[in-house]
Amino acid sequence: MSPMPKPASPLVGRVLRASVSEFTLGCRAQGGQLPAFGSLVRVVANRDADPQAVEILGVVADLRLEDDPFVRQLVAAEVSDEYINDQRDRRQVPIEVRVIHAGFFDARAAAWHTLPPRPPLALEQIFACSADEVRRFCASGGPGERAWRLGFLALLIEAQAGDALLGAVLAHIAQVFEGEARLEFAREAGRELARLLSADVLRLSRLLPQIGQTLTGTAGRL
Amino acid sequence: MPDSDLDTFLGRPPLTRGARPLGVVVGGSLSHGLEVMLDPHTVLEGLAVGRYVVIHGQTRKRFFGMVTDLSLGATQPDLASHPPAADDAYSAEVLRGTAAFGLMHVAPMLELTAEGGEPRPIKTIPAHFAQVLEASEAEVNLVFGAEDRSHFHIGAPLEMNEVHVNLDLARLVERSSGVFGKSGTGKSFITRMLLAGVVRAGLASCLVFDMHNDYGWSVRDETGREYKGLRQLFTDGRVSVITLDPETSRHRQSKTDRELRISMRQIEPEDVELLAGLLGLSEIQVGALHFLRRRLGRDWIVKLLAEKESDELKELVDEERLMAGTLGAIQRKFELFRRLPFLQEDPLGEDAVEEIFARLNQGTSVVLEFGRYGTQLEAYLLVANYLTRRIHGRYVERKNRAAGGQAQDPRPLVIVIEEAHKFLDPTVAGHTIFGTIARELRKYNVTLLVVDQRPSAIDEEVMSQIGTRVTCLLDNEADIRAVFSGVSGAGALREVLARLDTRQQALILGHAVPMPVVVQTREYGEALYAELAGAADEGERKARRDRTRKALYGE
Repeated sequence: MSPMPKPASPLVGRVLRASVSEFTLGCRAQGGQLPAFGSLVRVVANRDADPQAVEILGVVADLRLEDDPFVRQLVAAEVSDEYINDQRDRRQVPIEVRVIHAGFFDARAAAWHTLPPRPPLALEQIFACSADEVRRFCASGGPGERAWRLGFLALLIEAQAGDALLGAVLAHIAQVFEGEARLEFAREAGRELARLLSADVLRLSRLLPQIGQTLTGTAGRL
Repeated sequence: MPDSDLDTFLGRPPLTRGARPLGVVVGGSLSHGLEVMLDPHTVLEGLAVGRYVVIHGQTRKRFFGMVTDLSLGATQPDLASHPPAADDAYSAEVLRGTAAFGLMHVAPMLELTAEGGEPRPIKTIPAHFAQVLEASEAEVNLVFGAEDRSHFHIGAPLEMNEVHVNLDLARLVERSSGVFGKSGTGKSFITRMLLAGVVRAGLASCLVFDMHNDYGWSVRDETGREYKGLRQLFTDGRVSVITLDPETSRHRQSKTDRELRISMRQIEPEDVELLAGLLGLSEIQVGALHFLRRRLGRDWIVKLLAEKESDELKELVDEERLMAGTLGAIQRKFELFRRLPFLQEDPLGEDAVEEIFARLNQGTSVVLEFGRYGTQLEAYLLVANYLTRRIHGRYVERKNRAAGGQAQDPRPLVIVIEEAHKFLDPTVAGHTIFGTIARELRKYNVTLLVVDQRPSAIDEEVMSQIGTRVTCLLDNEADIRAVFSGVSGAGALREVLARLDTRQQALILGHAVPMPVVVQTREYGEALYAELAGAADEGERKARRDRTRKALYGE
């Protein structure tokens, strides 16, 4: 297997701080190009520096906009929309995006649903995952012999992901599959959650209908 | 780590290509069977008790077992309080098989080794999380062996129409066996098929006390379809039909070989004892029978039934050797014998017992049709008891002579009795010939095939000696218990038995099968006739060859 190809999607931001289980990236608004809650992003490894480096995948768990004195002045001042937009894009204080690790691609591009061996380094580049990358991360094999890889859900639950985040992640992933594959993903992901949360029946009884509605789009009908 | 790498690392035996496990072992014991948690993809409704599964052990052993129960489980009891909403199909589907799951109880029976060879009884169980797969046709065939002269195709396992369950007939006739089931569940059809197999294989002669004229000549089922009897299946003389009621046989256009008449002079008190309950004979009256036989000689019944009371009887009463009341009661109860035309003072012709014994010993099976007397239980008990006592006596004599090197071993004999509980009731089984035969196993080459709908009414000791039990649907708890008496691990099989279809399904367990098996019995029809006809032709050719050889070269 060859390493993951260079990302085709635009740069989302760079790593601000990180641990083995999660990192925070900083980014600008960039005309509404913010990563979506629950979407998957990928830390691009610098293979020139370390050929064995892994490429961490994570899910966007939170987006935080901090204020600063200048913003406070602008809020109070009467300024044009053009000026507001210009200031929004060029803010000195970045938007902080919390990303929970969901796994990684190793140097041979094999997907692993475990925590990465090392956290990403500061200022490493973060890109949004393409549909193909999401498919490679969550499934192997083609139609008829597809095997679902859903170990990332255990990592999310371990990281205290709430119902809303779980629903949003699954909705994002489901989008990259079509037709029967999407329904199959919905079923398998639901089963995995039911196994992981089997001790918490109340949560399951809340979470599953919500996920069912999001993933199947027909009020829980499969 | 990818699964294939894990398999390599852990050295797991590869599963059959394409086979998807039904579930994994999650608990259980050797004595109580294994608990299997079903895979979410396994449709619970697609399983059924009585099906076969194979459990893949850690050491390349496969454990062959039977599904004996199905149940529902949940990881949390709370789940029952929070079921998905009625219109939430998604939650229902994902919870099914995960937080809520199906459980399958499996009774492991045999061990199949990777090296092949005969399946062996299990002495251990697979570990936790061993994978359970539906048994393949090849595995079921391996267990039940190939069809040959002594292995008779009786039917197919449930949902495996292409697989043959072959009964080991040599082992079937080696010990007494039984066919049980509620009325109307097909006991007679199965019995006829078993007998056809035994006759075809030539492993034993059969003496069938055919109460309802089911075995010798053709019978019709409730839809009017006609089925051949044993005499029609074997036209080479391997089956003789003897009738007690020639008139009925004529009306049924049943071909018979002779009529059976019994001389009253040959009846002994022991022949009548079995009827004590039916005739209402008290213990004192039964005792008096022996006294009367001793004092009146061979004509005792003739004298008791005579219109004019004989001087001898008067004398016995006068001497106060016999109470007049007792004598009167016996005479009244013996009036029954007048209503049985096959009982005659002095029937002409040769000794029926000797002739039947000779036929049986030459390898000819005998079906004794009762005609209209089949509805008279007294007649059935009397004749069956009368003949069996004498034929068994001859077998004992022949066997003893054979032991002394003065004769050949008598040919194995299977005696078929219906309404067997009347012969083997706990109150009489201890001292009737049928109880004796059941208990002595194959000591004298005579065994029983009992056909009954109330096995619970059969003596427990006798039941424990029944080697092979073919059981159609039974729903009475006592009957089910009786069928499983003396069978280890029977608890799990009860559910299987109670859920058989009402027709053409039977649970076979015991000596003639390597493990309990639920069979969809094969169709008793043209295919079977053709198979047996082929065998009969072969038998006829062999007999002709033997006759020619004898004619040319003598004995």
